[in-house]
Amino acid sequence: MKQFLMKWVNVILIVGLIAGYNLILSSRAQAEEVLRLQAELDSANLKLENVIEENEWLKENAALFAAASTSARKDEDTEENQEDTLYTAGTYTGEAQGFGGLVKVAVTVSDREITDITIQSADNEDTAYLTMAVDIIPAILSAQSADVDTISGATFSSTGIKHAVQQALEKAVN
Amino acid sequence: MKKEKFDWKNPSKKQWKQIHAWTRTIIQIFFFVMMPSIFTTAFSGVKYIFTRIGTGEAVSMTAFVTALAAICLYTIVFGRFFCGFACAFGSVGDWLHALYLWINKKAGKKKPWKPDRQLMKWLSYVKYAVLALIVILCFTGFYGKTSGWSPWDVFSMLRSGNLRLAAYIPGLILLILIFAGMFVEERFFCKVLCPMGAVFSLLPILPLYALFRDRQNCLKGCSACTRMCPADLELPERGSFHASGDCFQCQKCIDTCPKGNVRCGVKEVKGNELLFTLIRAIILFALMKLAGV
Ligand code: SF4
Ligand code: SF4
Ligand code: SF4
Repeated sequence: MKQFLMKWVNVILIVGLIAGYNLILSSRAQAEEVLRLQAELDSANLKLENVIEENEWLKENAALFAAASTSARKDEDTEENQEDTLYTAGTYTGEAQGFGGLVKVAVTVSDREITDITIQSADNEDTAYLTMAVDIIPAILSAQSADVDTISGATFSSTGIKHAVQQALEKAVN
Repeated sequence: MKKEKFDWKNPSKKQWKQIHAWTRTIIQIFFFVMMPSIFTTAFSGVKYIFTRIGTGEAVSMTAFVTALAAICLYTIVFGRFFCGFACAFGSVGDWLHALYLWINKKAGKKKPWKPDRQLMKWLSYVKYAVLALIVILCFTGFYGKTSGWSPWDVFSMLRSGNLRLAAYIPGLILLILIFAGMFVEERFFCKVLCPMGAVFSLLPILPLYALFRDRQNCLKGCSACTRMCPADLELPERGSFHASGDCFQCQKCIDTCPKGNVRCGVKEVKGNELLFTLIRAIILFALMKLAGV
């Protein structure tokens, strides 16, 4: 009986500790978020002030400016455009070795962005691992590159996705 | 389940024993084919939790953690039915050991060689050390560097037909050693090394479906159930709370007792009724499906 109760106490303790740990982390994250938002707000206000100032300055000098800038700007625009096109827009597929077999992905790109990644097939991956591994997709999308850290605990499957995306992107670059 | 129909009307005691053994094997094969990765998934939950705490990140309910929680809850209620009937690793061990017994029988050996019982008892504490070691490695972030060492990874890779084992030589060697152990000693890995088994052993298993015996009903000097038991358990007295976390729920003891003295904590069921076994297997399967394994 004593042993039985001890075990219960242990289990409850462990679950409680993990829950408590999570709680602390999330409250800390909230506090940080508040600070971050505050900072953002401040800098936005500052920017706004600058813009207003600049605007006034521009207005004062408008006449001088107008003539000089129009011709120059046109050239710049076209040049920039060409440099910025990274990919040939379209959907490309790639495949790579995952845990138990091939992982196939489809990557959709616009001229300059990876817009969507879907897993086409991953038949030999274990479901739970694959569920974890797909977390790498938002990471790739936000980094706009396949060169991101793999998901620990689901290394094989996420590496598979990563390499498959890499392969697809290679096909997509001009 | 062919055997049931075979003499369904009135099977003798010995035949019942066979029926139960076959039922168990069939369920084991079923889980081996359908859900071979419960064990690694659930244990990834343990690793995940401690890796996250080690790096100061939040522990979210990922698929791993859900599977871990589900299997632990199930085990608290039903005992280690998962170990006895559904774990791919344990099943392979059982089959290897069956092969060992079969070879011995063919060779005409009455008593197959077994490791010393006392030694096994001491060794059975090693699994807690294994668990502690893995948890510490995860916590300090070193686990990632030991990736070639895990015999479970190798096992899962072999099972899923992935033969790129070059980076996994240490794990492969460990796996072969483990299989050698499982071959001569029933459930060697489960008793001595399995970190998931260590977790199960530490769980407070409810005295509902765990097994007990009425000691005063026993034949004098009998220890048949203990000798049959892969974990060498001396079953606790009914009504106590000493349900052992080391019992795999293999249920061999139930059929072994000449007096039918072994049964579940709950009086209504004995523990090895086909229906009850089937229900538990189905609950386990449904639970694991829900948990996303
Ligand atoms: S002790 Fe470990 S390896 Fe053995 S059956 Fe249980 S989970 Fe599987
Ligand atoms: S023989 Fe009985 S006590 Fe031993 S592991 Fe099997 S079910 Fe548990
Ligand atoms: S086999 Fe039956 S009679 Fe013998 S010790 Fe076990 S419970 Fe008692």
